[in-house]
Amino acid sequence: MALAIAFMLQLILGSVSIPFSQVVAILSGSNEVNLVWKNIIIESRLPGALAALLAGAGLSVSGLQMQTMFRNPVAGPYVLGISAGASLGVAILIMASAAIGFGGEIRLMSSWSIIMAAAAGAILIFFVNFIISFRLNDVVAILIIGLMIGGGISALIEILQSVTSNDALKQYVLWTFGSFRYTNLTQVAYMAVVVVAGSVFSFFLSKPLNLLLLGDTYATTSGLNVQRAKVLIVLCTSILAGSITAFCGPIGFVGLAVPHLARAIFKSADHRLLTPACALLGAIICCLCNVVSALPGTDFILPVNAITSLLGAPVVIWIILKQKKVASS
Amino acid sequence: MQLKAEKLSIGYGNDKVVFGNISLVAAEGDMVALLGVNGIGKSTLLRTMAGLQKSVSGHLFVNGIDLQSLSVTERAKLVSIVLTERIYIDNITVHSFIALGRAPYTSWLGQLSTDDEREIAQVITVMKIESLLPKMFNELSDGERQKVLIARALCQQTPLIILDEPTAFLDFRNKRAILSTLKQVCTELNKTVVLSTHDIETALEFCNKCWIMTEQREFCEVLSSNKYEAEVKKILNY
Repeated sequence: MALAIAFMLQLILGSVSIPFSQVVAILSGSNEVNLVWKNIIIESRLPGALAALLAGAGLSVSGLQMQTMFRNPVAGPYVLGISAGASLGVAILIMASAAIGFGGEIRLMSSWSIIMAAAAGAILIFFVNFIISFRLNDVVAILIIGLMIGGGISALIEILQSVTSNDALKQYVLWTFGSFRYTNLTQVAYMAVVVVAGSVFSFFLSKPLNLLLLGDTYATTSGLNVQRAKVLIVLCTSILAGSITAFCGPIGFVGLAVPHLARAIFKSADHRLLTPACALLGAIICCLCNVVSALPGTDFILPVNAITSLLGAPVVIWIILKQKKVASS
Repeated sequence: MQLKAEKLSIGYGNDKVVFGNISLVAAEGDMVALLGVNGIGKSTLLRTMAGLQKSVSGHLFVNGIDLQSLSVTERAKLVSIVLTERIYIDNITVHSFIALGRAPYTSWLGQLSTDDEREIAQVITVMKIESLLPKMFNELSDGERQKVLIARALCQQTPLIILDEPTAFLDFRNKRAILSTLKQVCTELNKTVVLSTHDIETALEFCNKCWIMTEQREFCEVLSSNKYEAEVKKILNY
């Protein structure tokens, strides 16, 4: 219900406000509608709204899996540098193809090549994190290493930027702002396939994830093939986070904060409940962020990443404070 | 049920032997204390028994089955463990936590059958932890937490239960409470319990035998009774 309201708000509000009844008429395919409004809805707001919904669901599910697998409450696609990895993949793709004089426009390039580049970058960084987390598993250490990886990758991207053309650069920078509204319906369809498949697959991983809550040793002695389970989780979560980042740009903190909200609201640690709960909550929150970023009634559009980060950063601080309290009690 | 090993060497890889020449036998209803100074290899032996690491040479048999020949799932039906490591899980109820012990028997999604529910209820009664059920796992005291961890292991319905220093963080009263519950479980449910500890007096009181890993790298067995306390301490060089 809340999701339906949040979703509709995205369609109604924007630089031009469109009445609810008209939105319904346009969506139901009626002919007696304002054509300008119809264009706005179908070409811009609807794909954006759908992208927000899918990205929110996918990022939250992937964040949930990471937090369980690393047994670390601050794990998430953005914090662990997964988004940075995806950025690196996309940066290399955009700039390399610009350099060899192959299509400049990101929207003209094959959606799948962007997905692949982002997922490859994401998986690469995820594995780096995975290996490091074997050596030391400390909440703050992982957080710092994620930040360092993110920092290192930003530096690499800056180097790439300084040696490539202005057009490619501008396109890349726009991408990094994070936005749901530069997507079209075809891309949204691709996203839908990845997010739905990824979320369903995550749901199937509920039992391994529940056992991993206990830690590797208990999970193994409970009959779980831990190594295999982790490989599946890594694949699932990097494809989710990687492809969403590819389409919408880096969207910070949603994947980190939503699982905590879900656990607190539903008072549960069971992934059979948490996976759908995260998908739903994440979708609602991203839809609302999308509404806010459009600054209804004005001509400005804010980067979505800025809004999610504003909301998410306090959540991280809250988690760290809570952890310290538990540790000292 | 019988736990048996002959000329077992434990350690890492093919050549790094931590402790060799271990021969041991434990039967149904046996509660065994594993004693030895820090770093002698108690945890390594327990990990080997749990199938978490391979032995360097020799084999461990449960009911005549070589533990290493089993898959993880099959092994999970024979051996369960309780560790000292602190577990922190947000928002998990005591019941859900205990129910995780049913993992080797549940379907791919982990749905509990009526049989599973019955087994869980039975374990809760045996452990006398009904009053803890409404609580969250994170709210438990150290003693309560230990009981819940043992209950989880019992739900696995394994003939062998291994505990790594189950009394380490407990005060005197809780220590005795945990060990007497274990003793009762051991005899009533016909389990074999192996636990490591540094607490010789309590171990001798509740366990019916001790395995001692001496600094001279000998593995010896002593039948447990308070009159052996001096002897055990002497062997251990305490």
